[in-house]
Amino acid sequence: MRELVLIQPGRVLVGASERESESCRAHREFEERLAECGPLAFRVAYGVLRHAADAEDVAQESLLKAYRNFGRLREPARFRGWLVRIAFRMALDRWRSVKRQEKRETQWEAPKQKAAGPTVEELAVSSEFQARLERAIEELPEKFRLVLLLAGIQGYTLEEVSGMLAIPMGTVKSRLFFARKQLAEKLR
Amino acid sequence: MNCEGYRDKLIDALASGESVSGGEVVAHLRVCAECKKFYETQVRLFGAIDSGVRAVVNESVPASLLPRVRARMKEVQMAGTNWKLSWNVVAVAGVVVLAALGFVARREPRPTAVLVETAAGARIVPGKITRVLAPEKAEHPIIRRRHRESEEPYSNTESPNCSSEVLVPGEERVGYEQYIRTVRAGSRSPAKETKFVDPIEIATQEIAQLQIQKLEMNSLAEEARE
Repeated sequence: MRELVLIQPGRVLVGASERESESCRAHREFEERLAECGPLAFRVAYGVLRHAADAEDVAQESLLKAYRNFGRLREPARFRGWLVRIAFRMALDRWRSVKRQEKRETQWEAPKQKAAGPTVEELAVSSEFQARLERAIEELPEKFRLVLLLAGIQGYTLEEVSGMLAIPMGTVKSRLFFARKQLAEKLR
Repeated sequence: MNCEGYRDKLIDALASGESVSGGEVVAHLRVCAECKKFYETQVRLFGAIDSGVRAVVNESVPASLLPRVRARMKEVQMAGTNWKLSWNVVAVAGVVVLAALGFVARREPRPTAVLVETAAGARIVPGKITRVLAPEKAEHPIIRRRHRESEEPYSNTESPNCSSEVLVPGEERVGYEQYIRTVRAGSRSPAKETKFVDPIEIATQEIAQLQIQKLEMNSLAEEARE
């Protein structure tokens, strides 16, 4: 017995065009968020790496990763928090690999001198205290560190950090409290 | 509460970003110079931490970031399109290969008849042309057992390279079967008994001359004149 199949060419075309328009819409939505969230991703990455070129690379990779998986994001309102987590994770990975590489180089090679001298701004920022502070931030637990960095970014309130990370306001405050307290203990 | 307790409270207040407003702690700071000094130091320390953290995270964003991301996004889009295109090519190639295989399979003759087992141990395919399979090719266990019991070289062909299948016209099937039995009983080789007959000779004998009654032959020139 022959099986009859009903073919509806018009419907197939409509489906394909719907998919295409959906991908176009997703692309447009991502473009709209890119201008706002690109700097955020960079700042989170810079907060971890403290190296502009590396932070730019990480921000770029995290934005691309977010772009590739943008269609899978169930709640577009959570985009910022999602991107921040991606950027933070990728920056931590990069930071670890940089540390490993530095360790290898110091084991097998003679210590290198810095190529370029610091600028006036860098001198102001990279004082001894700043170096100690950065080391202390590195030693913080990840969840404290992320909240501290996000709360430090200009223009973000604690409520926004809470919404971004989808955690209660009390949790944000307590994490920030313990982060600052630990930093103070290490720097005292 | 001693000075240590007050200092812990001061640190907690500063770490949580709140101002020291507790009446008891404020009163102690007024009377204890050391705790007041400690408090001022801690205020400066927390201020330095905050400004240091802000300096870390509020680095100016390089102008090249967004253009680079947009360029990479385009690359990703193009790669997605290429990926879809390559899959389409693979699908078309698959369809072409399947169609070619189907065409080749249809050109090969397929036996449509059912195999029937005979008493002689041969398998006969009834149909337009009957195919008798030699016992060597037969996989039936009875046939194998018979072969082992007789313990004689079991071949109906003279050379091992010869084909063990014999094509027999359908109407001669029963006769050939009897012939096989006779040959087996006399333990003679069927190949020795088989005589070669030229098929062309048979064809010339069988085909009658074509005779068409009342056939008129007109030349093209005559037809044109008419």
